[in-house]
Amino acid sequence: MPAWTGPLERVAEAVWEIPQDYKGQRGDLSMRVPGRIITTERLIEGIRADNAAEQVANVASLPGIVGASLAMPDIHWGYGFPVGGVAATDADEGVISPGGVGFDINCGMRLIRTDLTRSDLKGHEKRLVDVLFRDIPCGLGSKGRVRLNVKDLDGPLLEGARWAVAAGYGWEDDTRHMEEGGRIAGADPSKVSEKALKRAAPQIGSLGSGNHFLEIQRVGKILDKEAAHAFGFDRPDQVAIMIHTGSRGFGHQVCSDYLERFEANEKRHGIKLIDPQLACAPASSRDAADYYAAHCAAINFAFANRQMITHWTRSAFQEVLGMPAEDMGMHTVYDLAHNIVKKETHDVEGKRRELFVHRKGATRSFGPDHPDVPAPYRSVGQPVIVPGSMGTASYLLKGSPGAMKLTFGSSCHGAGRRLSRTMARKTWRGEKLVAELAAMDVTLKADSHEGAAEEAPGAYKDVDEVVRAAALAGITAPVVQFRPVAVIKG
Amino acid sequence: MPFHVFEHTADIGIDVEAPSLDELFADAARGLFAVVRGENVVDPVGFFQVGAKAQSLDRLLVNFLDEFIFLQDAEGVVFRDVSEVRVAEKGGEWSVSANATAEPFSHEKHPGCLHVKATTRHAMSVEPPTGGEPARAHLIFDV
Repeated sequence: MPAWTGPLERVAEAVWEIPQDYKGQRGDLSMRVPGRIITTERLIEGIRADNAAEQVANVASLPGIVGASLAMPDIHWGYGFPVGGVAATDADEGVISPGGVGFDINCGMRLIRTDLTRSDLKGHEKRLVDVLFRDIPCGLGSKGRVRLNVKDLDGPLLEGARWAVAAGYGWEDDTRHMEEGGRIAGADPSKVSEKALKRAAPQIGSLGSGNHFLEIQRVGKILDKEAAHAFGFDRPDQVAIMIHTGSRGFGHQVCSDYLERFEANEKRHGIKLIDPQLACAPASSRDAADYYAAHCAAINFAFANRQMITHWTRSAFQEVLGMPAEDMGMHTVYDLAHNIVKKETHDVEGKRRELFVHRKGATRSFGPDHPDVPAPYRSVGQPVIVPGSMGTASYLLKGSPGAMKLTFGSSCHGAGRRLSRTMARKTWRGEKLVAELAAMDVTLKADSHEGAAEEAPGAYKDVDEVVRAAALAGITAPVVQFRPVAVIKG
Repeated sequence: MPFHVFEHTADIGIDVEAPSLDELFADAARGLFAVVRGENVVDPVGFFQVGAKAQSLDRLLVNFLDEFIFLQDAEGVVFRDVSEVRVAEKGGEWSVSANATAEPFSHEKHPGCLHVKATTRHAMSVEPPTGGEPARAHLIFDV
């Protein structure tokens, strides 16, 4: 892909702007707001390498977009919207776009803490990954352990993680430490197609494949003692678990269904788009309302999914280490979405406005005192969970007040890919990667060696620099750095 | 080879060239199946009749390939081949029908399959054959 050569000016610490008068690569772009990318000099070359910045500019042309078309430091090229993009549209006059959420609706992260230290796992690593791999379905064709019929799906689609807890998966306390309490209002299963339901039923309670994983980690560094303590981490080598997965084929089908419907109705809505993948509908339209309701069903499905995987993670630790999960302090720290659109109220130029905030490969990042931050964390700020890649660091951050001013309360979601899957498979041999990780004291169990190679650390951007950029811009601050101990992936 | 797999940062795409629309759609499906199964062997154990409709040719190709992706998840199968692919247009409405063979997915027999989750329209093009030039398609799958 040729490098992007458009205009990018540094306007503040770690904030770079694409000016509103930029006309795009074809010369016919009409931006309604500027583009703003949270980044550092070190990351800019990578950003220019894959044309994601052009997508930031394209998103700025959407009707009703407010403030700026934003991009987080882990930005990379996506479908229409860049991955790592944030776009807020006016709730009355603006549009809703499925591309601003992504195919994998509520792809997101769960972080679980423990009272264990690395030494407690010594000698148990292989058995832990084997039991986790046995109990948590992952990979293509992975079917959930729970056999639900299509007609049984109302529970997870309407009640999300709360359905899962009521069904015996996990603890009630889990939902108090989740974005939206593990259940977003507004879901309507009748707005979901039969096809989406048929993809959902066999896949509930499964990890999936690609870059989805479950990683056992240890605290590498505590970077903010007070916030780390509030989040449940007090010492180096303390064990944690990160889970990365979403709404599986269900979310993909919802997105595909509504992209087709929005494309077909674009003329009726009088919307002309610079890129067909920005397919959207006026927020006030029936099309947008139906998508939002179906998307909320997918949000809840993913919350239920991560809740069930949390339950099986606890049972795996219990089986291998011989102690109840409660005695190991295996509480949910937080669970959040990084592909979502939400109706939120934000200050825009001194006025309170209702907006649809699209976060695609970006997380919510609310600062201290926000009422939506769980009470135990309110003095500190919302936890923000940022996975790196296998063999590299992951981070727990806290939301900062600057995020509300700069990014509609948003921050980065991960490291972002640097290399294609094909290049990664050519560069690393899976078997060698498993051995290299073992030499770093990291145990990997993957569904295939090829799948492992695709997720090699070198295939991803520098997560340390991504986190640094977000901190420099004042949207999040680092709290804990984690190092991997063991990984399972599909 | 009737299709060529190309790299993409987070996903994977195919370029297809064929003398007719029927064969273009058939080879695009074969490209999808090859991307999914990799080096694995898939036997023709099961049989599906697949169809799709759309208001445009490129949306038709998306819908056609998405049918296989849907069946892959809903039925738990890996596809082997297509035949009897027929593309038609009447009064501005496009349709396609095909027969396909597949096998239930098995971790032991089909390790390392790539889980394609959707066909995207990013940078997509579908061109019917014209003036001696073959039909062509360029598209990217979400993985």
